[in-house]
Amino acid sequence: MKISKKRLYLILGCVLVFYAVLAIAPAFAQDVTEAEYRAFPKIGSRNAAWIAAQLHLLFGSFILGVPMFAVIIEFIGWKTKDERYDRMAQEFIKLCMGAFSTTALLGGVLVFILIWCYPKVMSKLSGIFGPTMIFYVVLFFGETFTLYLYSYGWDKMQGRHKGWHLFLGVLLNVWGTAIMFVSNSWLSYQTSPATQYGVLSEGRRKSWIEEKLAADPSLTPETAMEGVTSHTMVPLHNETTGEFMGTLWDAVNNFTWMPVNIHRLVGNIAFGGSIVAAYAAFRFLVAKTKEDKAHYDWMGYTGNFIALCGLIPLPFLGYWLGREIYMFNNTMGINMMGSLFSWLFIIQAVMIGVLFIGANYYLWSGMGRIQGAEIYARYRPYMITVIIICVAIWMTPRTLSKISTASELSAMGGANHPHLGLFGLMTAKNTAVNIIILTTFLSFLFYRRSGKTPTASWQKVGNIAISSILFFATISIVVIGIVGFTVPTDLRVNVLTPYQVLVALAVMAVVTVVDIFMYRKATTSGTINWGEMTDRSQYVLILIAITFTSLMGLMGYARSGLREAWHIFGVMQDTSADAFTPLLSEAVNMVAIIMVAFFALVGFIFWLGLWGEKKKQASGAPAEAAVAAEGDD
Amino acid sequence: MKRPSLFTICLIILVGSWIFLKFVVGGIISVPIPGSVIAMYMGLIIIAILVHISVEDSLFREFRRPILETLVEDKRRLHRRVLVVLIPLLLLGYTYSIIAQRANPPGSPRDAHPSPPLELTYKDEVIGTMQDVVNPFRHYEKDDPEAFKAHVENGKRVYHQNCFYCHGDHLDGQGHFAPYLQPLPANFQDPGIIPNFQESFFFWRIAKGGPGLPAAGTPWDSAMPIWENTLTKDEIWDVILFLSDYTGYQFRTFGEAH
Amino acid sequence: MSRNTLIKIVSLILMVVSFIAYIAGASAFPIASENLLPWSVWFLIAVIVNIVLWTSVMRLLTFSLAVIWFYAFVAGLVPESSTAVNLTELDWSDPDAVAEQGALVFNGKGQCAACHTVDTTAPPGRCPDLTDIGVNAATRVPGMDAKAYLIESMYQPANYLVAGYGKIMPEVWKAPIALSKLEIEAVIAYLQSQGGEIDPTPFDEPIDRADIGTAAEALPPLLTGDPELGKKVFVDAACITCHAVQGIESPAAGETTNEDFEVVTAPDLSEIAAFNDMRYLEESILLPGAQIVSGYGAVTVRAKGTTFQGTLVSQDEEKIVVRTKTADGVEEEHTILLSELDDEPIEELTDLEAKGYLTLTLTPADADAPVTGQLVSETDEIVTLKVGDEARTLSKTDVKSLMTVVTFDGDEIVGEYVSGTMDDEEIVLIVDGSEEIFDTFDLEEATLTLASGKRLHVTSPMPENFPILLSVADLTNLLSFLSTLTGATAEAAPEETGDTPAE
Repeated sequence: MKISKKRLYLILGCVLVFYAVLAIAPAFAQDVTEAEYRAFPKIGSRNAAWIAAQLHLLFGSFILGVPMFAVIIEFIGWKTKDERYDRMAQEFIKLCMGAFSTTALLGGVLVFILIWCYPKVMSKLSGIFGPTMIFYVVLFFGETFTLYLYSYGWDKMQGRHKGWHLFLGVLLNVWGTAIMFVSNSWLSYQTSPATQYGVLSEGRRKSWIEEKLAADPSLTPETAMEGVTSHTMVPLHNETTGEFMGTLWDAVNNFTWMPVNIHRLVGNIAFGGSIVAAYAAFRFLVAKTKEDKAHYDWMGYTGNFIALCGLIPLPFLGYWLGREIYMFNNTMGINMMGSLFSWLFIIQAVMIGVLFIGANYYLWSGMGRIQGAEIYARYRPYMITVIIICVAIWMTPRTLSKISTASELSAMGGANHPHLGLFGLMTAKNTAVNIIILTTFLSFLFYRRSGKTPTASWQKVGNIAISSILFFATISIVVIGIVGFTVPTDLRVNVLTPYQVLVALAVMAVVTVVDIFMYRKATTSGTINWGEMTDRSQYVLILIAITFTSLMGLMGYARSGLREAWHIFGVMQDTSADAFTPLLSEAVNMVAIIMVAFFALVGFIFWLGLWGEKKKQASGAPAEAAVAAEGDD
Repeated sequence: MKRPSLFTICLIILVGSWIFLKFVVGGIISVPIPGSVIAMYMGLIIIAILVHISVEDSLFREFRRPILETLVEDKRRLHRRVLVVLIPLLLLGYTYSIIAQRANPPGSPRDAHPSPPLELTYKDEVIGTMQDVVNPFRHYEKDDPEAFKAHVENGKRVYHQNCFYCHGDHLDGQGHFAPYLQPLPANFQDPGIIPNFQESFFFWRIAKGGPGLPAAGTPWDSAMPIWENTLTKDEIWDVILFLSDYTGYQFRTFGEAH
Repeated sequence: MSRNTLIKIVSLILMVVSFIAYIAGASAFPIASENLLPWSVWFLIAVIVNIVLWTSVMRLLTFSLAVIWFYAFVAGLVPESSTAVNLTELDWSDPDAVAEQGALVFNGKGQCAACHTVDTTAPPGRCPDLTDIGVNAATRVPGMDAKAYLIESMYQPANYLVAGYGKIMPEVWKAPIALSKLEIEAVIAYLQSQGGEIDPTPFDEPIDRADIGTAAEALPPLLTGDPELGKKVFVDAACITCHAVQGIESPAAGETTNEDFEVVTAPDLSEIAAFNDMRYLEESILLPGAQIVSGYGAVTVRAKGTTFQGTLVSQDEEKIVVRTKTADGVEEEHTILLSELDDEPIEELTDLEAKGYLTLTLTPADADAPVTGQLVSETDEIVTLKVGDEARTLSKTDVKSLMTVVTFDGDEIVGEYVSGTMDDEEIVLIVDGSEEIFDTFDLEEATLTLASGKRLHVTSPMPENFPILLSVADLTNLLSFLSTLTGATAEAAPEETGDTPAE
């Protein structure tokens, strides 16, 4: 592929603007400290920052998630010598280039809005995080040039240098992940400006004990340390003056930093996969030839598979993040799950329900294109039933006062339904999620087996083993769930729930291994007719992508909104006109606006790719993306 | 007997599950389920049916066939005529149900749990942060069972002198005044009440009562009095001990992070 | 351009417009209005048309937009509350924006939505529904335009009451709600936007804010009683049995565990002094029935042969809603049309209005047929009835009266009254045109009725004998105690009454 100079300059220009803004940001912020807030015209400061930040974050996830996807796919292609994978990965890296400049531009806009509207906050943050901002710029440079090398070197580094090219891809992801970690430190610090005693810097340890002694004259240096363990939470600020007392590392390694990092990292894999699948669905629907349809069908399947792999651990990681928020501040936890933000999590349950139902629907639809998959169809109604019951449990709110009339409330004898109200508790919801995940896994198992006949001599024993493992795992998950109602919360959160998750994960691992061995030398009784998918299934892929993105938008709001009227929780109060928590419907409407903007921009980038391709085809150049279906034997 | 068509089966499932939720679960097994929750479940069941019939093209055609037949074929003329009458009637009924005036006060727009403040106070005295405050008598449970028993006994006395009118003698929120209160008094026998909160949360709710509820999530109309005006700090802690001792539930604690 | 293309483009535009209108909450648009069809329905129609008509890319776009909208719609179904808003200025160049801010105050700080609804399809609230208040406000009081009426209603809500609703709205400019002038202006703009035109003309507040201060200062104790002793009276006189006051514990266990114990819910008095003046408190104790808080009045009515005894939930010109409670504790609400009420016999034609008579049926001495009409007014001698469209004035004394006598055999005989009472030896009646004489020894009872009428008598469930139960000192102390119930906490009160004004 020939490097288009114009395009390169455009991207470089955008990136440079972003750097320039970042570089002058701290100085600029300090210059204008006399103004605490300035109102953004028409839509207000918060909305402006909200839109810019969420769009920047979504594009950031795109350019982080898609390269992750690309490297995995490239690796698979390299190992299996299947060229389709390699071409698909390359196609996506090209799309990434467009998204990259958009990300940089949006980042610049965001920084401008923040500095203009919230000078005092930005000056405080840049005072603490100044060095990391420079580090951030350096990382961004690293990512930019690695992306160019990776993308433009794709064709040149085929064959002998493929290993090095893959290394570049991994490096690209290392940069990207590091960038995310750095920016996560800023926003997680705003939410939880505290860290555990065990990882605290020496300086803050000393100043903290001094503060304690000053506050309570009855303490001595010896007794002040009573009850303090390595897990004790230590605020990073002087408790009376609010002055930052720790080191930079204290601020970066704050309490929720790592949970947010891991949650976002895995989330990005799923996001990347779902965006790829949506792109493939779009191309499938507009494709004219059989070959194109086959290629994009396969691409959609692969994207969805990666998304599913990311999706399965996400509820657990989210649960971990939630638990850490409870640990950091109980009030914040109650606000999140039981109070101001609780209905957000019902909407979240709706969305996750859609994701899992959609993912299963796609797998079941996919079995329609495999000859010999019909034998598994009879299990489908049962699986639908299980999933729907579990989603219903997950969606059932604990407190029904908001959605019931007074007479219904008195008929129930309170705001909680005496029986259905039990579904509102976390132990029921965790059980439901685990079972949904196992069912989805079973769908995938059926999909894998479709059209194949195992030849292993122990297949009967193997099947009995797999069925009984799944059966007993389900039983034990349900039993743990029921026991969870009766034990103290501490025990449930720290022992039972992790054990429940462990059962689900272990069962999936064991069954996968057994299944792989069983079907190692399987005879193929049917082929996959790529391209023979219903249009409906492609719409489901798009549904999954939009749902996933909306979920990110919604949960982004929850994470940020949890601070309520604080810029830095407990340290720096938000005294601006926007210092209130909006109505749920207002927040979700805002997310809807952002979604429309995001998909309009992404659609534009996709369309640009399509346009360029058409031009090439018209001028007689070989179509790069049109790859003949080779069948998957 | 002829096997019923896919369409009929789906219809039976739909109507059957509605009857099941409304009358079996909401009548025989348990107390009535709010309409909004039933609507949510029915929505899910419709999605399940749609998923099932649309996964395969053949199923979709089978599902569609009776509908198309009813619309065009002569032998289904009777069905068609019944539908022509039935559908407007159903719409009429639905419209009537919306318009018909019912004297039904609206549900409360309040939040599930009020947001506690960051600091726990008794009158104006700061006890500590919500996160860190523990019941000062809780340690007797292990250290001195006799003293613990005495505190629980005192809590029982305080409860029966003050709380039981609303919260009931079985701590189940079924006190004499309970039917006249909206929101209803808390039911401590519910597994979702005590285990989800720290003792400091309960102290805050008891001490500050209805008037101490936060600005967010208004309007509140809790009838809970401000007990810090009448009870001492120790009495509040004792009654909290009694709540968990009587019900057998343990308050949420935040042990060491693992 | 073919017709098909035109339809496609129109439906596409409709979809985009209705999506924007749904998200942004636009209230008016040329082709549709929220009253005709909600934006959500317009959007769904447009989506279906688009999915059917368009193919490939456009269909995909429609689908994507529908998914995004669906989540916003689901979230919109949950009634949520926002945290407080602080208005610092109003931009009158954009009245709609002011109205939106007013809506926030209405649903949030102002707590208006706790009682008022703005949705005719919603179940009725404790206070009038405010749909179309923007136009209706102008019709309420002759000579008063909408804005003037709304201003009056915000500052002095008790001046004009809607039929069937009591004096329960607090003066929102006072504590504890304490709306600022800006907030009240915004709420008025919001109310005017309900069907009417927003009038941005500035107005002067009809009150003097200088002396409000806090709730405690708003109502300085006028009486010399001791609130502490008054609190004791409050408990001892069993007020606490029905009235809740925050901070006072209820009576001891033995007195309330009676199985037949039936609490008639009475208003919570915790903030009674914040909303009402001393005269009202005094009147409410001495004459409990003089002002009955809407929703708490006790009523006994007979309609279609059934007696309903319970609480009057609501009342208007056509119907009443009565909440009854069966012996099993099941509460039921009955909507009764006023025309369905049974006629009750009237033995004495005095104080008919006070007794709650709505209609009257009586036979003048010189007429054969009875006259039925709505009771308009009465004096000691005459009553004025509205019969059809004309008013008729009838004498109270020249009335043919009927007497019902019941014999010990159980026979019930009705006849036109001639002479005699149960104290005499005989009673003479004209039954079926002939005079009959009854020996009073044979009679169980004899009831003289002068007329009959439909009656709606609302009484206070509070005992009428308070003036007898309470000494003057008790009453003074009780009033002093009640005047401290402003909703401010007990600790805060002494500080506020001290020398330093509260913050």
